[in-house]
Amino acid sequence: MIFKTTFSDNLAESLTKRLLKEYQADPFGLAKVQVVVPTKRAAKIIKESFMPQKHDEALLLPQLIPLYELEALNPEIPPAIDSMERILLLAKLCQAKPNILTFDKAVQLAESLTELLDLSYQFDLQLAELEKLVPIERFAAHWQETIQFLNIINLHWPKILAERNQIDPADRKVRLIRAFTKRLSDIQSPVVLAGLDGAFPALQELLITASQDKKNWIILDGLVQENAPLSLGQSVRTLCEKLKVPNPVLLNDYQTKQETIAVQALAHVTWQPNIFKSDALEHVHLIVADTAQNEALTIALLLRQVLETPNKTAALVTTDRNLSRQVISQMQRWNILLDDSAGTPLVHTSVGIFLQLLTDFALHPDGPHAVALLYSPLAADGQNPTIFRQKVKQAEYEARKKKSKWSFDLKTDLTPFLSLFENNTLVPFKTFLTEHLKAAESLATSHDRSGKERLWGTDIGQTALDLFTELSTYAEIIGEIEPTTYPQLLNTFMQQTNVRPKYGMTQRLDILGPIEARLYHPDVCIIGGLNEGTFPPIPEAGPWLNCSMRKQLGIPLPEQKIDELALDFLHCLCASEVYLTRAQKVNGTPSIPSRFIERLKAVAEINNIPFVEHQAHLATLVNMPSQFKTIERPAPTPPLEVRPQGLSVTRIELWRRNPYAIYARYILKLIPLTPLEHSVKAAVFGSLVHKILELFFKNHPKSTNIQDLLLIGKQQFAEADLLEGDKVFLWPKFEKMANFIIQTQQKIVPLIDKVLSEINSEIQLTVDDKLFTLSGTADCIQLYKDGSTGIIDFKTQSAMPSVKEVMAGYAPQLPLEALLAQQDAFKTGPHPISDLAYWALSGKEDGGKVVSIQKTTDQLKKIIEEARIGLIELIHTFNNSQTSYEVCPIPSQAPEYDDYEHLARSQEWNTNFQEEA
Amino acid sequence: MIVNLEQNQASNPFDSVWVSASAGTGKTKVLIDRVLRLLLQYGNPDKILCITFTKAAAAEMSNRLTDKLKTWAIMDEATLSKDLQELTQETPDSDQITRAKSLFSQILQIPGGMKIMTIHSFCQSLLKQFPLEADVPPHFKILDDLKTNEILTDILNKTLADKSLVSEVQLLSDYVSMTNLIPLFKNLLSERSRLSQLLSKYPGSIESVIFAIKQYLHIEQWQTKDEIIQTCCQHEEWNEYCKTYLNKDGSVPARTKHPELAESAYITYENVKKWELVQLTRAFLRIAYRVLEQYDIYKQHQAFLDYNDLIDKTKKLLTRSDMAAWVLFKLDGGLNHILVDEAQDTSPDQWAIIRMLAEEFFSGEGKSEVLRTLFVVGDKKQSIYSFQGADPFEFERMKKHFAERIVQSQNTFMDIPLNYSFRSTEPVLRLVNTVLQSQNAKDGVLFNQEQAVHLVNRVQDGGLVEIWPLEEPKAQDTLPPWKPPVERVENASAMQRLIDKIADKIASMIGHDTLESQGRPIQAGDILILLQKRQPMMIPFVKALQKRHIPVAGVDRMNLTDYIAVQDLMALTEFVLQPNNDLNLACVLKSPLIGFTEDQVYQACINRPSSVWQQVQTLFPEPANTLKRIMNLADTVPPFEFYSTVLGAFHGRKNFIARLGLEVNEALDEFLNLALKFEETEAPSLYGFLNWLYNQEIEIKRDLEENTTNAVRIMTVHGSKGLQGNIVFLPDTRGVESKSSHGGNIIWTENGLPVLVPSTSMHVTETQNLNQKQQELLAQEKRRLLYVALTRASDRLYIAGYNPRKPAMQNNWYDLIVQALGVTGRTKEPILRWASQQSKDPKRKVQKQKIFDFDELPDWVNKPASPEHTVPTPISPSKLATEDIDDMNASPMDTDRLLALKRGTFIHQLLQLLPTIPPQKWSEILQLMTPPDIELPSNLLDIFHNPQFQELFGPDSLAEVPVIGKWNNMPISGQIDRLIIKEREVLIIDFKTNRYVPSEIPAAYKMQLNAYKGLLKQIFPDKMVKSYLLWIQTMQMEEII
Repeated sequence: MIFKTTFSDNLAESLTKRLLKEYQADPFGLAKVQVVVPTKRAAKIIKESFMPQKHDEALLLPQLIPLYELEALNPEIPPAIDSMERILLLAKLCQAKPNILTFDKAVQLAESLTELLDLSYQFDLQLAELEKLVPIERFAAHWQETIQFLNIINLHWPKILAERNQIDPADRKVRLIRAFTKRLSDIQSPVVLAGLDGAFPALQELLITASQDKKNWIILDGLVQENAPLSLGQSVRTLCEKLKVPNPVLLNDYQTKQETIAVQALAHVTWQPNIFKSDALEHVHLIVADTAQNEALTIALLLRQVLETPNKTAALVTTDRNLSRQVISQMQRWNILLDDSAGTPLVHTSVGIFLQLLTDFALHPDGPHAVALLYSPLAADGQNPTIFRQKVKQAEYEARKKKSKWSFDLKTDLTPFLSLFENNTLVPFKTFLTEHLKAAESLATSHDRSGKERLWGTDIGQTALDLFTELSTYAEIIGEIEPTTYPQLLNTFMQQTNVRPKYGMTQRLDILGPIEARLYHPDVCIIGGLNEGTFPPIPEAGPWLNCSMRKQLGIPLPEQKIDELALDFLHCLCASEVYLTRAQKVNGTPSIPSRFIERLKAVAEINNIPFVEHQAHLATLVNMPSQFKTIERPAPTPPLEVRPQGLSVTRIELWRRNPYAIYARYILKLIPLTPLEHSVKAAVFGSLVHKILELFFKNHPKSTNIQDLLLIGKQQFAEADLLEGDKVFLWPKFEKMANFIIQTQQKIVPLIDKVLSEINSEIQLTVDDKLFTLSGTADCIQLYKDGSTGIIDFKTQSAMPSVKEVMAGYAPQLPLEALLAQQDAFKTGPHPISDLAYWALSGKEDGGKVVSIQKTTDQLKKIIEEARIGLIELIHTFNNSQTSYEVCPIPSQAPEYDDYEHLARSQEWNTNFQEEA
Repeated sequence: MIVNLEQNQASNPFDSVWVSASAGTGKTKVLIDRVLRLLLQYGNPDKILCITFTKAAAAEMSNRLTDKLKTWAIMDEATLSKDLQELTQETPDSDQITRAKSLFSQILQIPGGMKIMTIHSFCQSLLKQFPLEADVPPHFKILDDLKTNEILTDILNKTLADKSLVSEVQLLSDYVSMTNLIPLFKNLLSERSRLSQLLSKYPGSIESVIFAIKQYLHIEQWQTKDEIIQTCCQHEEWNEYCKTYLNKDGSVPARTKHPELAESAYITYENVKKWELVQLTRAFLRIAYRVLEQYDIYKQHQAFLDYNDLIDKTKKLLTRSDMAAWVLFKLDGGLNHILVDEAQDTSPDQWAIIRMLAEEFFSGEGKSEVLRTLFVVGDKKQSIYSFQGADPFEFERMKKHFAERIVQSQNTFMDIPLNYSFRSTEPVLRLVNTVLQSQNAKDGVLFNQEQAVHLVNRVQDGGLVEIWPLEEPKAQDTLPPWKPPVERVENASAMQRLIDKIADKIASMIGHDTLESQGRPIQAGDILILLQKRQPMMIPFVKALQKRHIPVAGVDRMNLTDYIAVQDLMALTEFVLQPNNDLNLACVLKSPLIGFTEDQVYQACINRPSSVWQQVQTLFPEPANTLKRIMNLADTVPPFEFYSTVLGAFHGRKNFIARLGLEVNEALDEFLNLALKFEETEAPSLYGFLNWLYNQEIEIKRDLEENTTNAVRIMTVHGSKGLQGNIVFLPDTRGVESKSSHGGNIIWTENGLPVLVPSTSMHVTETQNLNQKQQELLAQEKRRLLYVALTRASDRLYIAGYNPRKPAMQNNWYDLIVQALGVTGRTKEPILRWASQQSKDPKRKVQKQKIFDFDELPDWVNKPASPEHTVPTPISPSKLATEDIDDMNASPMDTDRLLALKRGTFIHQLLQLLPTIPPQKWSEILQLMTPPDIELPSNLLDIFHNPQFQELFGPDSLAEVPVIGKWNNMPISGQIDRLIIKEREVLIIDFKTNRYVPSEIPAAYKMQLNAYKGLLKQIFPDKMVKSYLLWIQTMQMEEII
C-alpha cells in the first residue's frame, strides 16, 4: 500500500491511528510490524503518539527503527570507524598540507572533507572520476590544485581504513540499507516505511523493493502535486514516478484552509489571478518588527497569549538561535521556562564556560582572569561555594581598594596545568586535557560534593562527560600541539556539541527547528526570523565542487537544502494558526524578507486576498512607559552637620570646580574604585615620578649627581605597575627629566639651606565660629639661605595651570600651600615666601622647565592673602545650610577628570554645551 | 522626454555604459532599470553582479528589485505591456511578457539571492570558493575592526617590550609622547596594505626602504650625523653655531651679518633634521613590521582575514596567470554583467579586482557568444572617501581604460552624463549651481574646464533656501577671583545658541508649517541635520531636540560605552560582581533601572555603618529585592541572556525609555549585539565581558536611511552619502582648523615611502611640500563634501553657522558659499532667502496605514501564566538502571566507562543477531566482529546451547519489543529485550551484562521488570506473565516476583 499525507496532516498521529485500527484484534501482531522512519526523533514521536490514543491501556508497539539503525550488527559489513576517531585521523592528514597550521582548523577542514566523502557513499561516486570533471585543458593545472588536496580522501584515507579493516559510518549506513533491502523478501511480517523520501539510490531501491510486496506500507510525506514546475519536493515526486503510483491515496484527508494556496505559492513560477477565496489566508498572519528585539518580544507575547486558552499548543519555529534566546529571556516576564530544542552549545553552558575560563587564566595568568575564573559558580576550591564566592569578592574588593596586585590562596594546585602554558613549547594534547580536567575537577570540589559530581553529574555534565571521554580515548592521535592551540581545539569541539534540554515547565509551548516542527504539529505555529540568509540560510557551495560539477557527478546541489526547508516551511504554514515574523533590521543592517514571504505576498496580491504586514505594535506598547520623566539637575543641600570640616588643598580646587564631587566623596563617602589591575598609564607614570623625586629629595636633598637620581629611578621603575614595553619607552623620558632636575639643582643648590619633600601639614581656620582644617602636602619645600621659602609642585602630565587660573582661585594649590607655610604648618619656621613654582616635567627635549608665579614677595603675599580670604568665603558660603552642592556650576571651569559624572547623570539633564565638549 | 532619454540610454542592456551622475539625478533608478532590462533581455539573474558601497544599499536595491518584479508577476498583461514599454521604449513581444512574469520566481530561486553586494562581500564569497588557489584557510572568518584593534594593541604592547627593539623604542621616546604613541602606530597599521606593498616594492629589508627615503630627501647615504655637522663646524660647536647664525626655529634670520654662514648653517640644520627623520622612521618601521609580522601569524593561526586581506587576497588570486578565467569558469559559467555603484569611492585595489574580472569579458579567450557588459555609475564630485583609498581621478582613468578595451573588443561603450536632478527644488539647485561657478568653491569639485549645471526637473515644486547670519560668541565675562561655585553660569556658547535656534525653528515647523510639494504638514522625519564631524555638535543637537520633545532617530555613530544607559548597565554588572563598590551601587540606584532620587541616594549612603548595599537592604527592601533577583540571575545565564532579561522581564527597557526617550532603544540593542559578539570569541562570563568593555573603545556605526521612524536624523555628511532629506539644516559650516586626522604624522611620498615627522618643527623642505599637497587634497575633498551636503536637500535647505572661539578654518564652507553668492550684510535675518512657488498640485504620498493589533495592553500581559497541568513524561525503566557504571562519580579520564557502555551494547546486539544466523558461523563471526578492546564473557555462546534458554531464542520469541502503558499510575515507555508469548504464558527476559553480578538484585532492576510485567498483564489478561533477569556473565536466570 502506498499512502501520502497532506501538509496539514500529522504523520505520526495518522499513522498510529491507522495501525491501531488495522491491528485492533491482534496485540502481538502489531509488535511484529517494523516501522522504518527517517530519524531517532521521529521514532520517539511516533512512540509517544501511541500513548494518548489508547489512554490507559498497555500496548506492545511495533518495532520503530530509525533508517540508519536498520541492523545493529551485520557480519557481512565491516564495522564502522568511530566518528571522533575518524575526524581526528582525517584532521591529521589535513594538517600535513601546507598553510593549515593549527589542529583545530584542521578539524574544521576535515569536516568539510567528510561531507564530500559521505556524499560519495550515498551516491555511489568514484572519487577518482573527479579528475575528469574539468575537461578544458586550459584549466587542468588549476583543477589539479584541488585534486591534489582531495587526494586526502581519494587516496590516503581509503588505505588507512583498509589497514584497520573498518569502513566509514556513512558507507556502513548505505550498506545496511542495501542489506535490509536484500533481506526484505524474507521478512514475514509487514514493514512500514514512513516519511522516507528516496533522496539517494540505496533508499530508492529499498522503497521500490518494499512496494513490490502488498503487505508493506509506504507513507510518502511532502508530495507536491505532479504539475508543480519547481523542484520543490522533487525527490518524492521522482520516487512516485518510479513506484508508478502518480497519485497515492491519502492517509488522512485533513487539510487546513491555506494548504492549497501555500503549496501554489511555493511550488509555482507564475500564478493565475483570483482562484482562491478571500479567506484562504485568514489563519496566516505576517508581523514585521523594526528590530530583532521587538520581534522576540512579539513572539513571547504570542506564546503567552496561547496559554490563555486551555490545552492549546504553540511552537516557535526558527533557525535563528539568537532569536530563540531572546524569546526565552522574554518569557521570564511570566516565569515561564522555555527550552530551545536545538539545545545550547556546550561552550555556552556553565561547564563549558568554567573550562574556558580556566584555559583563559592559563593563557593570561593575571588578576582579572583569575577573578573571572573564581567567580564562576562552579569554582569552590573545597569549600562551600557561597562562602568561597564571598571570599573571592572580598579579596577583589581589597585589591582594588589598595590598588594592589591580585593575590589569593587556593587549595587547589593549578600549577601542573598552568605550567604547560608557561613556555611556548609543544605539549601532547592528552597532557593538556588530563591536567585541564584534573584542575577543573579539583577546583570544582565543594565541601560536600566531589568535583566530578559537580561538573559531570548534571544534564550538561553528562554531555560534557561524553565528549571528553571520547576525546581522551582518542587523544593520542592529535599528538603535540602549541599551548595557544589547546583552548581553540577544545572550543571547536565544545562548539559542535549541543546540550539538549529535557523538559521545560510547560509542554504546551516549544521552540523547534523546522525539521522537528514538521513532526510535532502544534496548534499555533510561529515561524520567526524570516529573513534571507536566516530562513532560508544561504547554502554554501563549498570550496571543492561547483554546481555543474555536482550535476555531472549526480550529487545534490547546495540549494536542495532550501527546497527541503521550503517543505518544512509548508508543513508549518499549514498549522491551524500561523504567525510569520521578521525584523526589518538585524544587527543594525536592513534585512531582506525571506523568499517564502515574498511568494506568499505575491500569491495573496494576485488573488486579492488581504495579507497585511502587521507591525509589532504590542511589543512597542509593552515597553512604552505610562509617562516620560525628566530628572532635575542635582543640587543637594545636606544638613550642616554632615558637611566636611576640613579638606586638603587639592580638594579645595575640586570644591571650587565641582562642589557636587565634594558632596559625593566627603558627605556620601563614595570612593571611586577602579577595575582590578586597570590603571591609567599617565597617572601611574605621574605617581612613579613623584615617588622617585620624593625619595631623591629625602635621601640626597642637595645632590647634583645624576647617578643618585637614576639609581632610585631604576629601582622604582622595576617595581612600577606598567607594561614592560611602556617602561622601555618611558625610561628615556625619565632620563631627560632627571637631567633637567640635576641642571636645576646645580643652579639652586648653592642658594639653598634645606630641602624638604612630601611633608604633610594642616592648619585650622575658624569660620562662622566653626573650625575648618586645611591640610596639604607639598611636593618640595626649599628653604633658602636668605631666609625665605620656595614651594614647588611637580607636574608630569596634566595641563599646567595658568597664572590667571591661579589668581582666579581655580588652581589654588600653591597659594594655599604657601598659606600653610606662612602659618608654619610645615614646621619650617615662619619664613616669607619668595617663590611659588611648578616644575613642569615634560620629558621632552629639555626634560622640563621651571614655571614660577613670578611676582615679588609682596605680590606673592597678596596672592596668598586673596587665597585665604577666598577660602574663608568659600567655607562661609557652604556653612549656610541653603547652599547647595552644584554640579560644575561654571562649565568652563569643570575639572578635567570627574569621578562623579555618572552619579551626577549630567548626560541626562545637560542641555548647555561648550564648543570644546 | 529628454530626461528619460538619458536614463534610457544608460540602462540599455546592449551597451557597456559609464555614467557620470550628478547628485539627485536618479542614479539608483537607472541602476535598477538596467538590472531589469538585463533580466528581461537575457534572463540568467545569477550572471549579474552588482557592486554597491554599503550593505544597506545592497539590501535596499535588492528589495526594490524584488518588489518591482513582484508587481510584474501579478500584473495583467495589458498593464505589464505598458510598463515594459515605458522601461524599454519598445513594444514588448509575448516572449518578453512571459519572461517578465516569471522573473520574480526566478530570482527567488537563486540560492544566495541575486549578487547585489559590497565588494568585500563579493571577495569573501570568492575566496570561500577558491581557498587553495588564493592560499587562504578554507574556513576563514572575518576579523572585524573591533577585534583587529584589540589584537593590534595587544601585539604592539608586547612588541614594545621586545628586548631586541629597545634602542628603537627609546629613539621614539625622544620624539613621541606617551599618549600619541599608540595612536601613531594604529594610524600606520591602518595603512598596513601600503606597508606590505612597500616591502615588495623595495625588496630585501627595511634598509632598502630607508635607502630610498634617503634618496628622496636628498641626503648622502652613508653620512653620520657628525659628518653632516662637520661640513659646517666642529661637532661640539654645533649648538652655539646654530644659535649664532639661525633663528630659534632653524630658519635664516631676515637680517644677518653673515648671510653665507647662515645659509650653510641652515643647510646643515636641515640635513641634521633629515638624518634624524630617517633614524626615527627606521626605528618606527622596524617596530611596525615586527607588529605586522606578529599580526599575520596571529591571523594565520586563527584562520582570520581582515577587511584589507579580503581585497588583497582576491587581487592576488586574480593576478595569478589565467586565474580570472578559471574563476569565471568555476563560478558556473560566471558573470555576464557587472554593475558598479558609487564608483568614485572605489579604491585602486578594488578597481583592480573589477578590472581583472571585466577584462576577461572583453579579452579574446574569455569572449563568448553571449554579450557581456559593464556598467559603472559614479560622480567624482562626490568622492569623499580618500581615507579609504578612494581617488576621484581613478574614476576618469578607469573610464579611459575601459573605453579603449571595450571598443577594441568591438563592443559598444557609451559615456553618459546625467544632469537632470529629480531630487531638489529650483532654489536648492540654483544655490548649488551658483556655488559651483565660483573659482574658489569648485576647486577640487570640478576639474579643468568642467562645468556642472544641474537641470531642474521639479520646476513646479515649492522650495526654499535660507542662509542665516553667523552666531557670534559673546565676550566672556571675567569672573571675580575666588567667586564661590554656587551660581550657575549659564551664558550659552555661540554653538549652543545656534543649536537652540535651529531646534526652535524645527519645533515651530513640525505640524505647523506645510511641506508644499506634498501638501501636508511637516513631520520630524522630513528633517535632516548634517554635520561635518560629530564633535562637537551632535550630542547637543540630540539633547536640544529631546528637550523640545521632538523625536530624534539617534545618531549615526556613537561611542557606546560613553552613553549613559550603557554605563548604567555596566554599573549594574559591576554591582552583581562587586556589591561593595559603594559609588557604583549609588550610580545603579540613581539609574532608571532602580530610579532613586538624589534624596533617596542620600538616605542610602548617609551615616551607614558599613556598605551602601547593607544600608539599602535595611532601608529599601523592595529595590533591594529586585537587585538580589538580578544578582541570582547573573549566576545562571551568559551575558546576553542576563541583559535581555534585565531589559525585558525586569522592565529595564521600559524604565530607560521613560527617562531617556525612545532613542535609547538603539543603544540598548547595540549593547545586546555586543554581548553576542563577545561570546563569539570569548568565554561568556559577566566579569570577562565587563573587563572587555573597559578596555575597548566601541564605536557603533549605524545606517539612518529614510522612512524607518518618523524622527529627525542627525548625521555626518559622510554618513549621508546616498541619502536625502526633504528639509536639510547645515549648521556646522565654519569648522575649526584641526590637525590632519588621517595618517597622523606620517607623511607619504608620491612613491609610497613613509616618513615619520613627529612634530611640525621637524618638517624639512621635502616633507613640508608633501604635507602641503596633502593638505590641499584634503581641502579639495572638503569642497566635494560641501557639494554632497548641499545636494542632500530635496525641498528646503537652511545654511547656518557660528563663529568658534578659535579662528575659523580658511575657506570654510560658510565663507565659500557667501562669497560665491556675493551676499553681504551679516546682520540681516536671513541674509539670503530664495524661494520657489508650488505651481502644480502637490504629490500626495499615501501614508502607510499602521495596523494595531491591540489598542491597549490585554491584561494577561502583566499577569504570570497560570500553573500548567503537566502531563508526566513517560518513564523509561531501562534508563533507570545503567549497568556497571557509577555515573555520579564518572570522570572523562576513565575511558573504562565508555568501554563498559560499548560492551553492554555490543552484547545486547549479539544476542539479537546470533539467533538469526546458522550456529556454525558463530565463532567466526565473534572473532570478526568483536572490537579488540571488548572482552566478552568466555562462555557467551553457551547461552544458545543451554537447553534452559532454548525457547528464549525460538521462533516464538521477539527481540527488543517496545511497550507502553500505565503502571501504578505512572506512564511507562520501555523496551523488552526478549518476549516470548506462549499459549498460556508470557515470558519477559531482560539481559544484564554487568561484569560483576551483585549479590542482591538492585531495586531499580526489580522495578523495571515489575513494570513490564504489569503492562503485559494488561495486554494479555488471560495469560500468566513471568519476568526474568538473565545475568550474562554467570549465565544465571532469576525470576523476579
